[in-house]
Amino acid sequence: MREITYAEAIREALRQEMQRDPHVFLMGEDIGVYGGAFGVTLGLLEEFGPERVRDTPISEGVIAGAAAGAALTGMRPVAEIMFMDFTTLAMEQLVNQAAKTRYMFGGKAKVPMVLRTPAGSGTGAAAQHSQSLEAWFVHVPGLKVVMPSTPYDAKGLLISAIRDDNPVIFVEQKLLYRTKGPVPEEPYTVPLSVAEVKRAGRDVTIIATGVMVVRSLAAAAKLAQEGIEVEVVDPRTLKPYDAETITKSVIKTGRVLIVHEAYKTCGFGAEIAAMISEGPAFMYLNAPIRRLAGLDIPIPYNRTLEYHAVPQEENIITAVRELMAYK
Amino acid sequence: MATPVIMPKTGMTQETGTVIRWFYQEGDYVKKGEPLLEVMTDKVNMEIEAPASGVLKGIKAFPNDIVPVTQVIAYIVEPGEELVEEKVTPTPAMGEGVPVERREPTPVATTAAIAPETGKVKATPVARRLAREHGLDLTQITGQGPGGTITKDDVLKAMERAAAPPTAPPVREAKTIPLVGRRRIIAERMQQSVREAPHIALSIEVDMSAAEKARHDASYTALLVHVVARVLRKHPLLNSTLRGDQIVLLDDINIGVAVATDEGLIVPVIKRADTKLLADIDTELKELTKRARAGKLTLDDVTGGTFTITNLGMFDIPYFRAVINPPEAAILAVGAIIKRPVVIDDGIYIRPIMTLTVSADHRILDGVAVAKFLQELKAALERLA
Repeated sequence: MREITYAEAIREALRQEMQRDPHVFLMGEDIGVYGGAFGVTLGLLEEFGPERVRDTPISEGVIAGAAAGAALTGMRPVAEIMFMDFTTLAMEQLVNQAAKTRYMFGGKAKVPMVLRTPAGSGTGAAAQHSQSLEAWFVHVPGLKVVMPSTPYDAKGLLISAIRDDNPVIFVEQKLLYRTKGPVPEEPYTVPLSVAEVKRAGRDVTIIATGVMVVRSLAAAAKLAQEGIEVEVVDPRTLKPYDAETITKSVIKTGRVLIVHEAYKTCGFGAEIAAMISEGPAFMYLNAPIRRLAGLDIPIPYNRTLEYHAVPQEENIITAVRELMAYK
Repeated sequence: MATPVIMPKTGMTQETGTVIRWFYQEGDYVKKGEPLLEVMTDKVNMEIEAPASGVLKGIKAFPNDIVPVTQVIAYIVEPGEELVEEKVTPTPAMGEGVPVERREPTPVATTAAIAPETGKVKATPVARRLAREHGLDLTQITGQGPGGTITKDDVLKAMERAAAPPTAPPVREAKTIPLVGRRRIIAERMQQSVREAPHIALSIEVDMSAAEKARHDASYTALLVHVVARVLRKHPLLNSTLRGDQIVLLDDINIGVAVATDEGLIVPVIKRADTKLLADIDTELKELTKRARAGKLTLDDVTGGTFTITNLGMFDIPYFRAVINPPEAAILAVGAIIKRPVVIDDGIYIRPIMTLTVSADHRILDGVAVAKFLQELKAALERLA
């Protein structure tokens, strides 16, 4: 199969959905003429024109609010917030409006919008352009949160998100934009709320999100040389997430490592750890549940400090070895 | 203020640099911005400028030395200033694959500080479930997991034992002593030493006639500390440590002396023993031994050792081999002084003979190096006046 990058896979999903459905349109800061801060929407303005690829003023509140309004009136907007850090300014429209409307109208209104946003550190972009705030949205009933880790998942999940009738926060990780992988040319969907076992193993379950899936797979390959077989589970959708796949894996291995880039305190991993502890997998645990996550600090600009602020492959390897001490 | 001169990192993938030559010598005055030395980085030669004006001191890397990037290779101090070396930890280079210790954030109330309740069994959930399902008593199972936790494996083994018909009457147990505290530390460190360091052991017999007279009131152990420390100066490999893929020769000669206490072995350290008088070593050793038996040693008393002496002569043990005290390179085991007939020239004489045995880390040094050390130590002890 042909290989393309994560950014190209997202662009292809946007293009194919816009070709398929005239209700789909894009809006965001610098997504048209400039092609997006990370070049994801390059060429789409030329192909679809300014009516469907709309450069907006610098107002995240307007972007999210206009998207929610357009969705309510029958469109399927895909809005982009240039950095996830800036979603702070869109919170009112997302949390109090987009997330609540369908419920408050007794199901008679729907809000089929997608909000795409690049997240994460590793680019030297400092504390206000590097955050991973997905847990904030996971916390809100009425929003769905999707976080793909491969080009294949990015395309299939984005198409599913666009076709979904609820507001979906689609978290793209900057460090993944240039990663390549096999992606079919024709449109296809990856269902929301279905986790995938990215690597099977019997000894330790790693539940990882976004770029941490890539790092966990690299760590798993090295650990396999020591005879440690790691199973890597990628939830792919964080809300509503697939507890069954995770539980099955934990029952199989009895050891759990949760890895994400976002802050540890009240991060997505805390939810997963609590779910495992409350559920049937608890009785199969043979080691304390372990979390590796971002340190509770603003992401430093200094590249060395930035590197150490979030989990890296070597940290994952060490944590797995420590879990393996519980025989 | 001393300004450190570091091996610069000029490329993203560069991990080391090689010193080609220094344009100045130790003690020369250098001016900020002038070329200070030439280094080779990724096969490119480049000149490194002085980062400050002052006197070049403490050059640590010499032509052809390969140095990790960001490591300090010299200092520039103010004229007249003495160089006080800071402990400089090299900044880890950026990039993938750098092993680093990553400190986990500490929650406001740290869970580590919660003391375990005595009498409670530590077991993982699956171990508890299996024990319950198979009617096993967890208090009768010894946990082999971290911190003595009973794991699934421990319960499975207990199930096997329970299932296997007893082939011999079980040995009756008087009591069990938990492997905790100092006993556990000793267990772990000795296990580590035996696992990591290939031991070689060499013995030599020493005529202690001269030493008996020379020691006056001092103990034999103090005398040995005194003499060994001085001989070690000429045998730096026995006073070294293996750090990664480097053998680090240590400047200080700090002699640890194994002391038996009710809680087990402890090794207080006589710091810089090669600079101290025998009488002072004897006083210090008596004081440290007293504090060791009273359990009043401070962390400072027991850290920093570079070589260890262990003496079982008082128990009439003629000779023995000791396990190296990591991360040291060698340990001296001292046996009893026993009067024995010896042949000197063509006559038979009765002399007090002591057998000294050095165990050494064969990764760091070879048998010949230990033999030479023992030979010189023997000569020094027999020559004492």
